[in-house]
Amino acid sequence: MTHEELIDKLAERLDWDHAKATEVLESMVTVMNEQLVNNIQISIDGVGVFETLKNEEHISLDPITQARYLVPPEVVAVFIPDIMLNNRLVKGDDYE
Amino acid sequence: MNNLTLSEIANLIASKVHISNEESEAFVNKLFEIIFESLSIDESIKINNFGTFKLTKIQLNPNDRTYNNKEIHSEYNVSFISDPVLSNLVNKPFAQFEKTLLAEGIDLDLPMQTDFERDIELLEKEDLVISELHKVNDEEKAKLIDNKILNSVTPVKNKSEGKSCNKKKLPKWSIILGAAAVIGFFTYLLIDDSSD
Repeated sequence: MTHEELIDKLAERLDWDHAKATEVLESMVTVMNEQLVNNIQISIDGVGVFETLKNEEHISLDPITQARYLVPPEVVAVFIPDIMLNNRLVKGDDYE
Repeated sequence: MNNLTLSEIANLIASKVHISNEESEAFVNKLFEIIFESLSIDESIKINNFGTFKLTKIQLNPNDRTYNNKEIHSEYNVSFISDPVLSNLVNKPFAQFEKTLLAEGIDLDLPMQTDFERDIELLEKEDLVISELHKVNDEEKAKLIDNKILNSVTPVKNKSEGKSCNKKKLPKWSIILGAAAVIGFFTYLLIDDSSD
């Protein structure tokens, strides 16, 4: 599902116009991105947790050429799905 | 690390676009409902500037150290690929650094890892977070116990938690026996001293 299709579906279900759904979705993305940049975890019951993880600086070894690379630290945004979400998806329970 | 819930996110959205809290909460709920529905029919969902959700099949390997942990998530897992916009935003403090080739003879006091080891470490980190999440969601856990789902689930273990979980409590009789032995030993010493 593309971004536009998602907006259409949201607008239809909430009985909003397309522009309002777009604006609210964009602001939600902005809010969530701001929180993740500030290293704040977002936990949503029954869905999962959005958070940032820091990969420490390390030396990476190429197993073929044996060349060593200095890999800088990196912060990545990750999503840890809730066990309930996976159970629902596999067992076919309804979303609450 | 601070933690935000769905209702707090809804409040922040409401203050930003001037809609009521109820409306923004309904919006967030509908959004995750649509995401759930799409994932259940194996369809990926892309949100611009945020990321893509999709269902991925886990390759279960009995020799894998995390095999037991993966069992509880079934053989499918929801994966999230962050959008380059979000990736660049969160990695802004380290954006100016690049991977550099080390010349021979330069020794740095840093861990050396192959990409495979790096992946294993990331998986372990994720498992640690999952187990912490389980600790937070006690109410959900109680629901799971009610539904007898946990009976078929292998408990999550991690480095820090595993040690404390595996500690066996000493039985009461061994404590009493130990105390009796200590008292007996001191009594013997006292009697021995008085007889001298």
